[in-house]
Amino acid sequence: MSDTVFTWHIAQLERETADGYVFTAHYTIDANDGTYKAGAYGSIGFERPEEDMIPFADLTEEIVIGWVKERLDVEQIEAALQSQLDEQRHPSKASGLPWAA
Amino acid sequence: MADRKISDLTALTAPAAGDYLPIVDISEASAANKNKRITIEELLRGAPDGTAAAPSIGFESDPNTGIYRPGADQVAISTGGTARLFVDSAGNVGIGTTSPNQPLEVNGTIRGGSYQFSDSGTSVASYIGFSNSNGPTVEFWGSASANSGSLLIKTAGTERVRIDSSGRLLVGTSSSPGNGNEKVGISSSADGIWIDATGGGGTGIVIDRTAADGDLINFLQAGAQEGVISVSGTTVTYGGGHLARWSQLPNEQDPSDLLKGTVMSNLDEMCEWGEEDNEQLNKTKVSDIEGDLNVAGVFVSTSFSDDGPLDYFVAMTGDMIIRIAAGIPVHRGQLLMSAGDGTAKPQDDDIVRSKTIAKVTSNHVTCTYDDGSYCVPCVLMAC
Repeated sequence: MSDTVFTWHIAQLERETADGYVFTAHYTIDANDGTYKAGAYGSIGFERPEEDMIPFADLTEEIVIGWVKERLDVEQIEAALQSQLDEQRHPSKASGLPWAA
Repeated sequence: MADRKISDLTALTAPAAGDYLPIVDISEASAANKNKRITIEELLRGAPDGTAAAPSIGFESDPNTGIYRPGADQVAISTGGTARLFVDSAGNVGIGTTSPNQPLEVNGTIRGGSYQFSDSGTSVASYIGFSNSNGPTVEFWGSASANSGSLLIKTAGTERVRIDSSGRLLVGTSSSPGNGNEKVGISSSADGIWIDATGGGGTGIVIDRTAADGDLINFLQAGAQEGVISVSGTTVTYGGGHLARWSQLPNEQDPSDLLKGTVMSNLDEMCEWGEEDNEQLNKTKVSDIEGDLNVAGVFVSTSFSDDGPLDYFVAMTGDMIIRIAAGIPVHRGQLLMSAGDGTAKPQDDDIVRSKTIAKVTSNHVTCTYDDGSYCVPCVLMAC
């Protein structure tokens, strides 16, 4: 089993058109251990910065991912995704009807 | 001071903590010792701890109802001799529990007309959660955004469903996966929608354009429209595609090397999918007879499913491309037949015959393969 790679991605940004203040980022996290995949997504809100707001056009995905990670419990999220991968590899639950095989 | 009746004393209408209340202790023998006093502060602060069954601050007509002190830095209210509400040393309030772990913990059902959850920040989320000893099970979250409100539903700590500020229902994504105009958006790396039509009647999916003619379903690939199903009056149009069917090569050969547009020929042998019933899908092979009367269609692609690469699509009727051998010119309007090597070639006449497989619709060369064969757009005909 190879190490799990967690890939963070920004799916969308919501901003105020007047000054480019980004108040919401929608993010995704993909976990891939080479065999199994799992994912999570969500959005996070940002307070308006008091100063030095980066112009919207100058934002990069890396910058926004940094903002998102600052506000999230990254370790907890990635641990949860790892648990999902582990569950796929070694399922602890199943559904089915024994008489319908 | 001469003896005075209590009723003659001046009533304290706004008693201060240090004001005295007179007490006549009739147990004392001497008159000098009968007169005692206590300040209002001392009286109010001097209550014993009490218990739930006998609260220290209670009512003469209902002695098992009142306020008592269950422990250090704690206060509680009991009714009918049973503890009901606790405030612990941390300020947590418990109703129906003596050990609240949150500012308010209720062991039982909460009922009310409306509840509001809010926070002083503009980007702080509020939620109602359900959990057990394994952790959170279901959570309903309010907006985590400064300028918009969304309702999120999480299970096992992961967001599953969202209704965003525009009323859009989102599954598997927190933002619109489409053009932003859709009312329902789904993003999934696995199956998107699965409908079990369990009843004997009814219809799996119904799409009704109630106001005007137009598109019913758009088919896109990487954001680009590739096909459409539309309705106009009493006619439904299936645009931008062809009809195809599953097939397999004989002897479990791998079709991965087949070129798109290759002419395929019918075989008697039927496709096999384990014990799955198969009434009509026969295997095919690359057409190897010039003017082949048993052309099944042209090869499109191998299976997209995980079930294996042995299955492939054979286009039978409709818009498609067809493969022409290198050096064989074709022109728009020409009828084509099998050339006997997997490619097509022009018929000698312009009469539709049993061997006719397609009509060239454009002189445009769609693609050219390494062996020099090339593809042109065509309409497949009754393969």
